[in-house]
Parts: sequence; structure tokens; C-alpha cells
Amino acid sequence: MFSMGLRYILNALPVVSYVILLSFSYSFLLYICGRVSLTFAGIYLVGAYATVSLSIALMGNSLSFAGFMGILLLASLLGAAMLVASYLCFERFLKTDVHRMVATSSLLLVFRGLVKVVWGTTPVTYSAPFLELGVSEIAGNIVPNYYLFMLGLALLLMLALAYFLNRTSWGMRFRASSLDGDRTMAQACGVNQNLVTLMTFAISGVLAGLAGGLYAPIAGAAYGSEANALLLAALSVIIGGVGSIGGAVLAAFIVGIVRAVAAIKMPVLELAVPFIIASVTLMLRPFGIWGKEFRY
Amino acid sequence: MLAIDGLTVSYGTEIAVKNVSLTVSGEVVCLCGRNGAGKSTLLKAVAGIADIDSGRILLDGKNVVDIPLHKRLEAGIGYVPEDRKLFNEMTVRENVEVARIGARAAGRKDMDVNEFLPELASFYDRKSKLLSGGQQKMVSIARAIVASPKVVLFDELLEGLAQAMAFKICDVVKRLKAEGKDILCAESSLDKASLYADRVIWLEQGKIVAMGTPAEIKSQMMEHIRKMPVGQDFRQGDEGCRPS
Repeated sequence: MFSMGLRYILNALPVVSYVILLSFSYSFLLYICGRVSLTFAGIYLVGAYATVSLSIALMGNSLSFAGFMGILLLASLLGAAMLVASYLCFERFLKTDVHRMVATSSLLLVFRGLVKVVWGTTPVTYSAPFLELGVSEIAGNIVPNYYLFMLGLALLLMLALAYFLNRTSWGMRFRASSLDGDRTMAQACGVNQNLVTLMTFAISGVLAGLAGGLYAPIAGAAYGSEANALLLAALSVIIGGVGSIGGAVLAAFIVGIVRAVAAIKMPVLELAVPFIIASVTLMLRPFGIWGKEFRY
Repeated sequence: MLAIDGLTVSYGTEIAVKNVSLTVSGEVVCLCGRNGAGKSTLLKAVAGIADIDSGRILLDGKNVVDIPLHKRLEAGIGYVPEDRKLFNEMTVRENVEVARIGARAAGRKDMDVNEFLPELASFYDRKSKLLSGGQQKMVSIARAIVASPKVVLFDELLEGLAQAMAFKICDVVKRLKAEGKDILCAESSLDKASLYADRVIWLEQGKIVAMGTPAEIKSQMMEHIRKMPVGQDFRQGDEGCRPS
């Protein structure tokens, strides 16, 4: 029983890892800037394609771990640059949540179109990291080392963000500007909101780009995969609570593991399971497991 | 010295402050008037929160109108809002630190707020949302003065405070004045203003209609205040309520 449970958990690690990054990308923007933006899903898609294309171009079908890390870094920076550009050229002119929701949904289609023009609609894969990093045995279960690498990197980034927000002077400025604080008074206290907003978009872009790049060696880069990513990330934010790092991690584990179980036990419910969890969560805790009500 | 010259502020088509001019020099000046008279709007305009239509706001002779909100503290303007607006999930220490960091980054010498508000030390590490209204007011004041501003703006300073806390806050204001700060406040109650203000400016429909010491304003305006209709929107029309 324990071994079976552990196997489900280990199998869910790739989904858990990328959902942690992607849901916090969405949640971070919402929490710090009070902005709804769906553009992160487009960045995820571009991150996946960029990682696969660069990896194949530079390394063929072999793996240089340092080279792959460098490519992940590039995918993250590309994500940051694209999200900041989308803010500067478009999103900053959107003044209400309704406008943001409608307009960024459209922007997501623009990103899809961009991917279609550059890479076409055929999925591309680069599986070398997954295949060549080897496997480990955990309590009798064989688990690819790449799964552990993904989870380690995602958790490390979450810890780094928690440290940044809670232990640095810039983090203090971010929290003062967040939904927990007061943007106007933060400005009156000398916090440059333009800079905070740009940095938030950049961090959100890094997380989304990295989520796409990190998951690509397992699922490949596939046109249309951003819809599933958007769904899982948004539902994880609902389940975990806006702005909560712990909530993002917990919700990703719940969604990832329950989906993995459903995929084997009740495949017909696999897609419905995250919705069911989100519905139950909203009934019991309307602001998410780790969330709270904000003055908004 | 803070000098406001011909300031006009409007919200859409509604003019909240009409061509107001006043100076504050080493004193405590309090704006009084009924709800909607333009007191808070005028303070927000000086703080940089409300956009102005026309006029100048001079701080030691320098026009600060074009200085963005996040640079007003650096320019020497501290603001205590009406409803405190603390960073609720942050500790008292962090609330004050946010402003201190801004001040240091701008090269301003920060102020020892414990000297003015020694009570803060007893709840420095508590989250601000857990504090009482009076304690929150103290934090809000500490946050405004930590950057050692030249001018401090207080909106409804004594609103909702118990008597003992109100006296304590009045003492802080008087000490700030003794330190050479220019202080501009807004109070809806003349009685509260008379606890700490050197001068009162009475606003009606965004215009100055009387100014003087609290006692002078009280004697001039008391009859007028008694006759004021209540529960109406005074911002449009209503010339009949203007004191002669």
C-alpha cells in the first residue's frame, strides 16, 4: 500500500514540479500587482519550444548538463523579457480586471500564433535529460533522476522567492505593494511602483518560461499544451490560495498526485479531478487552503 | 515652509478644491470644514496622491507638483492617511522600515521614531493588523516621520481615538512642531483641531472662507455650524450655507 502510494507520488513529480512554478507565476503577479494576466501560459509554451529547439540545435540528441542548465536559464530570461515586453507594450494600458482577463486571453492566442509561425504545430521533443540522467531507487521504486532534479529546482526556487520576499529590503517593498499591503501608501513611503511591477512581471516570466523548459524533456513541446498548463495553474491557485508559496506547493502536490491516481484508476475523470478538488476547496475554504481574503 | 498657491483639484467634473492658497511655516495648521469641503483632497494633493488641475505647491520655495508620489517622501513630505492604511501582514518594524529604506536610498537622514513614540517598542514585532486603532495610528505616524520630512500631513488625526491616546498624539504633533516641522492637518471637528492647532483654516465647497486661531474660528463659525443642514451633498451649489 505504502509502496503503491509512493509510486503514485513519484510518478506525479514532473506535473507537480511544473505546476508549482506555473501556478506561482500566475499567483505572484496577482498577489504583488493585483493584476490578472493569462499571458504566463503563452510564455510557458514559448519556454518549452525554445528549450527543445535550442537543445537540439546545440547538443543534438546528447546531453551536456551544464549546457542544458544554460538553455533553461535562457528560456527563463526569454520568458522574463517577453512578459515584461507584453506589460510595457500592452498590459499596462489595461485598467480593470475585466479588460485584463479579456485582453490577456487574446494575447495568449497571439503567443499561440507566434509559436505556430515559428515552430509549426508538430510537437518537438528533446528527451536526453530525462533519458541520460539515470534513475534512482526510492523504497523499492525506480524513479528517473530528472524527476528529482525538476522537483529540487522548483522547490529551490520557491525557497529563494520566500527568502527574497521575507528577508530582503526589496522583498519588504514587494509585500508593502501587494494585496496584503497598500500600493498607494507604499508609494507614499518611497516605493517605486513602476519598478516593483516590472520586476514582478520579470520574475513571473522567469517562472513560466522555466516551467515550460523544465517539463519539455518529458512531455515535449506541443502546440496546444498551454491550455492544460493554464487550467492546472489556475486551479492550483484557487486550491492553494493567492500569493502563498506554501499554498502553491501544496496545491501542486494535491493536483499532481490525484491526477496521477485518476489517470490509472479512473481515466475518464482525469481532467475533471482538478475541478472537483477546486470545487470542494472553495466550499470548505473560499480563499484556498493557504489563502486569505484581500482588500481589493 | 509649505506654500500652496492657487491650487485647484477636481474629480472628473466635480471641483473639490478651488483656487486655494495658504502657507504653513513652523506651525500646526488645521483644515476644518464639513464632509466634502475638500480638506482630505487638499492633503492628498500635497502628498501627491491626488492629481491637481492647476496651482503650485512650494516646499522651501521649490515646486513639488511634478514630483511623482514615490519621490514626495524624498522631497520632504510625510503623509498620515485618514484610515491609517498600514501594511497589514507586516510587523510594525517592517512598516516603519519600508519608509526608512526609502529615506536612506534618497540620502535623507532618518529620524529616531522611538524618541517620539517610545510605546512602539513594546509591539515592534507584532503584525500591524493585530494592533488597536490607537496603536495603528502611532505606527502610521512613525512611518510618516521616520524619513525626517520637512512637512507632515495628518488626515483626521484624532478620529476614533480614545481621550488618552488623543492627548498622546497631540503631544507628538507639538513635539514635531518644536523640531521645526511644518504640520498641515485636516479635522472635521473644530474641537479636536483646537487641541493641537495653532491656526485653523475653514473650508467650504473647496474654498477658504475663514482662518484664524481655533478660538477665533470657533467664535466666528459656531452659529454657522449650528445652522448647517446635515445629510446633504454640499459639493454642488449650496451658496446659502456660506457664512457671511
